[in-house]
Amino acid sequence: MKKTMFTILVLVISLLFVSTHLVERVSADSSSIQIDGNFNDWDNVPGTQLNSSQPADINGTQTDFQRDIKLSYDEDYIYVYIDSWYDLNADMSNHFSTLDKYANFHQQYYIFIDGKPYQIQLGNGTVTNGEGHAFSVDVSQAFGDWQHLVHDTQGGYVDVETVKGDESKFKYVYEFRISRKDLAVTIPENSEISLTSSGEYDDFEGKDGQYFKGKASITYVGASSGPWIIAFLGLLIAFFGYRLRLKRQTKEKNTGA
Amino acid sequence: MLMKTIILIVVLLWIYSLSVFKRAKLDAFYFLMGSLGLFIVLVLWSKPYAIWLFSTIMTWGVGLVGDFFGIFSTLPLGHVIQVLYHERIILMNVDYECSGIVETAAFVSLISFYPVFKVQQRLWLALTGVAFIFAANIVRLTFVATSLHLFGSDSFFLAHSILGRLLFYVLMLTFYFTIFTRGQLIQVASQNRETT
Repeated sequence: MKKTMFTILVLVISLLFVSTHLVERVSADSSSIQIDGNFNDWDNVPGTQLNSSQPADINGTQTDFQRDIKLSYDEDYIYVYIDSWYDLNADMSNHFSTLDKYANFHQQYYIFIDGKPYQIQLGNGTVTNGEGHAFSVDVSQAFGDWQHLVHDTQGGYVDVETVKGDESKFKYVYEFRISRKDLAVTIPENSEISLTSSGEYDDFEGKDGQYFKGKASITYVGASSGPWIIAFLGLLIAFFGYRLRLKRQTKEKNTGA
Repeated sequence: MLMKTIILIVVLLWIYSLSVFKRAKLDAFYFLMGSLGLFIVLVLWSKPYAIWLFSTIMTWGVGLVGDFFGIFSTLPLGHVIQVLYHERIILMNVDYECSGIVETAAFVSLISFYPVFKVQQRLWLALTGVAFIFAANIVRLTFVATSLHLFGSDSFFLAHSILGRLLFYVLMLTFYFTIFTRGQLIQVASQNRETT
């Protein structure tokens, strides 16, 4: 008896204190997507291909000039991935100042959470071909009071590289995150999170943005699955089963006697 | 630290009350106090520490089914199930309530103090229960994700809150019934046969 009680006590205390250290250590760096310039963690995320609102080449052709945009989230962050490529023959002076593949990645986007707009400002900086660069991410409330909500100094990463098989083009890939806690917004069930690059202050969504046309969006769904009910029903069934067993045992003993 | 100290004191009181019920041979009270106490301890423990682990394993398990059928994909570390409905991307989060942790804690608590089974039987049944709840939850989440893939986010309420829940409840109640009533009645019958 004492041995059993002692075992329970040891087990419970071990569970509480050992797991504290183990699980905290494992889950500390458990974001679904790491902002580190390694884009492999986006491989499994479905994306949206949108046409760019800027010409792909000097003639204004937009053939095959697309941006692959991916959105995701977890309990801590909303994540954005933008993959696009440019033709070096194009007049892209606002992005690439010289032909030695030198890119300025200072850009602005808008994110809508259940229809509410937020402006995203990517930090200043330049990056050369084959190199990566971390940048800061700032987010402000885009309507009403212009309230600055998020400043994440290591919130984004950009990488620039030549497109394989076509040295006249090169692509740059962004990934950045927005802290849900700093944003202080509850994402309602069955709501939409979308990204645009529209600079218009009225009717943000649906307009051709500065960098791409339209919007990339995800729909968040969620609801309680009611686990407490099944836990309670389990207790009832177990108790009912135990009562049934006692009755049956008594009955069979009486019959036997 | 204060929280841990409080939990420790409550655990000590709980263990003392268990020893009282055991010595007084009040099996029903021992079972109720034991299973409820362990359930509360497991739920308190799981809130800060085990949710991440359960949600990750559950999302990974659902992801295996999704990858096999090619209907949906998952991000296990983010606890996200990603479903493509035509051109739309629907994300579903495997959170605390969805992870199966409450049901698992409830079953383990009940089986740990159920006065019928021997220690070895309890251990095997607990393991079987954990595996069954895991599998049943995968079936439920696969059903919800498949509905989203076929009918879009408008079907979510019906698929998740009604049909999915119903499916899970039927599976769980069948399991509980098998373990706590049918299983032990068979055991009683065989015990009586042995004694006669």
